Amino acid sequence: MSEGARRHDHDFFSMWQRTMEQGFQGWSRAAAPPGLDVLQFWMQLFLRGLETWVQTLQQGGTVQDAMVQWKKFTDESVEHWSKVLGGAMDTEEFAAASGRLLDQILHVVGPLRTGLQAGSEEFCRTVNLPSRKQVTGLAAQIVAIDARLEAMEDRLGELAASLKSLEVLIRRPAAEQGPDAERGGRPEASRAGKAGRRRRDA
Amino acid sequence: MSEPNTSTVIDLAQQMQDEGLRSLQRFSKGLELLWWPPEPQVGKTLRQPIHRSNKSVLYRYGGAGDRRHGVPVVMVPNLGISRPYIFDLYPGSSFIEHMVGRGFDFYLLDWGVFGEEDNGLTVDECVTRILPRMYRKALETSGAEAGSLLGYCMGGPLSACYAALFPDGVRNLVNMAGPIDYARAGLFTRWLDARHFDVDKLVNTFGSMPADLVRIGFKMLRPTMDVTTFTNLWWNLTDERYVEGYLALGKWANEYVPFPGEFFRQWVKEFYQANKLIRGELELGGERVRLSAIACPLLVVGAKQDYICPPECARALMDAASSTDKEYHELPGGHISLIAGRAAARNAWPKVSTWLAEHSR
Repeated sequence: MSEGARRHDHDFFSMWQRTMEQGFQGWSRAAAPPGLDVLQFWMQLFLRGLETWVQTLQQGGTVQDAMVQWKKFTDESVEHWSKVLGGAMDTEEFAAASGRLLDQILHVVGPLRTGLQAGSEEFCRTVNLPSRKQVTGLAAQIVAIDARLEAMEDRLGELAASLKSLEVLIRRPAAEQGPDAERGGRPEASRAGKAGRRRRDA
Repeated sequence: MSEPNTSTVIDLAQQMQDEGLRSLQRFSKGLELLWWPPEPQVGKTLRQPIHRSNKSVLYRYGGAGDRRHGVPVVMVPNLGISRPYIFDLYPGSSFIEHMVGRGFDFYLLDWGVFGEEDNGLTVDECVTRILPRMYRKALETSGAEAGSLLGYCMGGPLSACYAALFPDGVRNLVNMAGPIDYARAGLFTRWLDARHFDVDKLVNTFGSMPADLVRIGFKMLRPTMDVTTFTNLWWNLTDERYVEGYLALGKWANEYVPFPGEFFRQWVKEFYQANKLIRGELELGGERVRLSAIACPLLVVGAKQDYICPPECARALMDAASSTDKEYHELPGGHISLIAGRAAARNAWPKVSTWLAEHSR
């Protein structure tokens, strides 16, 4: 392996290591914010729950009351935990770390997917079967044809609407003329007829 | 130290025995659900498909005798993420059933589940091609000249864009938890920031936004949600009605839907990263989308504990639209409890149906 290639590999691995470390830091900060010991947190939760339970019973409450109190306490604790996590995730560090993590995943998944696709396409071609890409392409074409048909249908609908409004406009003068309209004659047709007759007479 | 009273000890033992029995009942019910989970009956309100366009279907709900209002309501939900049967979860807990019961001629646009062949679909096409067609079909079917447009979640901004571009047929606009100002969209604003989130690389790699990644994104918003859900289920395992609701909601919450690649690219870049909608810089179908063009009566509903669309993010439409008749309500609960569950039935649904009834005269 050449010196340049070795240096490239080394650079790549150190970049990968650095990114992973930063990612882990971000995630661990999100999972356990500074000053919060996870074990201590759950221990306190359990002990305080037990304390509430005993207190309720000592004050003359029933076992069910104690259970309700304990449930309330658990809900509040989970809510608190949720707020802590929410606060940790609402930071630039977390956003940057998760972005880097996604980037790393895509860095691995991208070439892997391309390789697998190329392999499966080659296989399909060998056994004379349509590949996924070809089937998807065909489906996309059908979708495009469907969209064009819809567009044509819309256009026809618009034309039909225009024709209808034109028809209304044409019929209106006929209705206004009265006797013509009563005989069912179309003024345009009769006008055209008269003009035709005039041309013939001339 | 005083001697414990014998009757008190017996009483306590009895109570503990009862509690133990209850826990045993819960445990056995839990096992039953785990081993033989019943299939929840969702989407049971009477409906009829009116029009199909590729994967999208427009449904009309209820029978002819149910319709009392002349102005139809067209609901536009989110595209991708989840299926729209959350709006018609199960009988007795369904927003659509509520709306039909209040006499509305109710339509729902189900965008459908897009496949690889639809990866080229954009926000542009949805707002300027599919939505106008569906809306027109709804108006034609109901015989009305104008209708009420109701957007929920991502359907909110899509409806707002439509109402801004084609204001003629929109008599009323309702935005329920629909993000408008993306600078105030909470955690998603931060996570989808262009400095950290490379949407091009994601879409170029997968072709779409896969459902599993959508799931991860939403689960990360509230990592303790599953703990709360299971704790609540444990406490209510003997309540048949609660379990029925849990199963229906659980089915919906675990059925994630991918985004078409180009739609997701445009959505993230232009809405989240550049915040073009509220800035008036968004262009769809070659035309500038100006929210100020919305002049019809407007209702905006936000949820106080909404992590997906914080109330201030939805409320932005109140200032952006030029409507004179506008109302804003901020209700308790989260994004989902605005549309499904007991709190929704108590708070949000009556607010929306009453407002729409008043504006449908």
